[in-house]
Amino acid sequence: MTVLAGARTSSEFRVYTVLVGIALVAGLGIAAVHELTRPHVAAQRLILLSRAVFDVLPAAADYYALRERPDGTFEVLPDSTDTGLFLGVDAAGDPVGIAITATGMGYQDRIALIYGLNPERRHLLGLRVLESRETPGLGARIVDDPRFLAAFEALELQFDDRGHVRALQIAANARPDAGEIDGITGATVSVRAVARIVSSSLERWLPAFDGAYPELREGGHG
Amino acid sequence: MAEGLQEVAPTTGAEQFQAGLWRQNPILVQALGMCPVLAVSNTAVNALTMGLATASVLLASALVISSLRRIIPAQVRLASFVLVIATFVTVTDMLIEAIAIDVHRALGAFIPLIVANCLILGRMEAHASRRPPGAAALDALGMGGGFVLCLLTLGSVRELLGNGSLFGMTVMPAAFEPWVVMLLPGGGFFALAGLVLLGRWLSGTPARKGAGP
Amino acid sequence: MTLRAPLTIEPAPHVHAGTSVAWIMLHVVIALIPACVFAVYLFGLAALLTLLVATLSCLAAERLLQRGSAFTLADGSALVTGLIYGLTLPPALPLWMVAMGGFVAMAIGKTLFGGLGSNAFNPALVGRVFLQAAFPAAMTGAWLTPLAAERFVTLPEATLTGPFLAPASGSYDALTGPTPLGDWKFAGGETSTFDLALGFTSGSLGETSALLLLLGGLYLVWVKAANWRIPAAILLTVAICASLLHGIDPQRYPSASFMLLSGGLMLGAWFMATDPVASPLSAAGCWIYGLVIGLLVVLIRLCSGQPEGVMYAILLGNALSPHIDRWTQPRAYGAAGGGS
Repeated sequence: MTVLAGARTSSEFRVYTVLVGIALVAGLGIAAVHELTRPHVAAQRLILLSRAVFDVLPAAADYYALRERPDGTFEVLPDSTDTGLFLGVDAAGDPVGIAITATGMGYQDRIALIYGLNPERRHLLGLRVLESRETPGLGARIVDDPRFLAAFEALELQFDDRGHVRALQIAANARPDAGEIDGITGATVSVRAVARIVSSSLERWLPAFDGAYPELREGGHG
Repeated sequence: MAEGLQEVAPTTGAEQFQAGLWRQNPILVQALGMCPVLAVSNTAVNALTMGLATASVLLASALVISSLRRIIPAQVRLASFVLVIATFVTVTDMLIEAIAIDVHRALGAFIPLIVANCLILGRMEAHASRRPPGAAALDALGMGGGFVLCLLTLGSVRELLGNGSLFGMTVMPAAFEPWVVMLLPGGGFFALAGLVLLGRWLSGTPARKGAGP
Repeated sequence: MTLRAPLTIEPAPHVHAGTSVAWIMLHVVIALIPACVFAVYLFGLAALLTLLVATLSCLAAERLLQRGSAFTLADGSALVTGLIYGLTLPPALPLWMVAMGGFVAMAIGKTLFGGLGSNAFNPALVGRVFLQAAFPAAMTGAWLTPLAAERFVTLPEATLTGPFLAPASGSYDALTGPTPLGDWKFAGGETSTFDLALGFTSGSLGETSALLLLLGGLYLVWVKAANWRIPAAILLTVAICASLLHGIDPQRYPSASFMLLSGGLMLGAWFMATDPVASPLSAAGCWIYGLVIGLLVVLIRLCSGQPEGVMYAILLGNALSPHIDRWTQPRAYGAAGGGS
């Protein structure tokens, strides 16, 4: 090493000054860029999210974020914070459904998805996969297989005698009006994962909404 | 490979620039920074973004470090290099997220990992810290350009064969059966091996004889 | 290396005095003939074409890639690789894929490693694993119904699709039901032992008749063209594991006979794991190698998202075999200068 500051050893003071100096400038630079890009990043994230919400709630003209209060009721947030729970409203401000995000393990890694539920909570309105790392060509078809996704657009939920929701079933020549979805050849595990994630999310949220939904109707401000 | 660090310093600016593009190409010849090369070259867009991000970090860091080469004490030069590189990587990461969030998600951890790309640290130590900014920039442009070109070639080939498309646009006939393997990690190795083979063949490097057990 | 008599490593058959590569390969071909004939009988013209194209593509690739080298087509190893490779394929696979996989088998699986005697992996399996990764939909869907009435006069649509194209209908799985392993994994059905043994089931060409493959395998062992310890270790391991698990929870785990007779286990254990180049040399090494493959088969079949794992199990076993050789090689203590 001959070029950098000569071959002689620099004084400790100089070493510290230079390092701290570089670090200070670097920190300032990063902070400045962060401030500059933050609004753009937030806007981009919002676009991704709202695209997904409108996809699974086709009738919605707008949506609000929902948050569950500790007492089991729901509050409607004025902005579109990503709470993972959204109330879709039409142009007149009437609720047209709830969009719910859910995650779970797929074949390779976590799958994150969002699905729409109609206001009466008896059938699904649509489903989109938000994040997945399933095998390209096989499991990854859950993201864009039109026939598979179409099955969720009018999927009737099935309930047992006590009103508990039943898990979604995968069947050949599936009947969406009986809570069945079609499998995809070669994507069996991923399709099962989607069904499992949606089913357990429904089990979690349906009872919570049963008590709270009527007031949301009032809460949906236009 | 160690040859990369023992190169004879080229004389003219044009030679400096061309070394990275071909004769000392970081991927084909020096085999540096292979992890992102294999991991994110599955589509042309990902590969191009990754390549450009790496090349910009390389160029910016080379300029800064070359300008500071008389100020940075020798004992802490590596720490200083990493500090500068990490700054530019963080900035690049934020910029990509602000501009193209889809690509940012697809690239995941690999943008922050540019910090650990041995190509960049290697160029700082071997070149930028010993040359004036102009020469350092030419070297960084050459190395970065060579890196981008290889990555883009790999990404294009893999996307074309694995998905029948290029930059997201379908170019193969509708009936084309995609070779899914090209999108998987294994396909990265196949494509890279093919590219290195082609590079060796074009530059006339003789195959090693009698290397077997 | 000098070894004393009690420490002799049992050599693999291909270096036995008095035998030759061609001699072994001839016996392997003889042993494979019943399974090939049965596959053609079961699936008809499509199976015949698949086997033919698989074999011819391997021979052509060998001829092309081994120009100027000492190895020739005459040793028969390319023929055997081609036949075994053909037997691992689903019957309705497009023929261009068959040819492509055959080329990959010889190019990547064999030539790149230095040709016959140097291949680290079984070349036939390299070809198949490439196809599995490249065209998963075709490889997991192109099954045919066995003994279909029209099988000798018509071909499935997928077979004759043009090079690099998908079938016109876009789908491979229009024709048939699942393989026994797929049926068990995804629908909980367990095919009867009788059907599995005789082979009147859907599946790859060489995945069907367990009995005929067993016969061929026993012949190989009888003429000493394969090391009996390897299939014995694999099959015993699978049988013991499957019996234990089935005993613990018969609802969840299939019976040992199902595990032994279904899928590619017979073909893999007798014909592919025994590849003399890619398997260990010593007797102890063979037992360890078989044990590892057997455990992997059980693990992949029962615990993974894939219905069948023989292919991956053998390739992983191949990768381990040089290490197994090193572990099991008796140390030549005292060969040069005494123990202390």
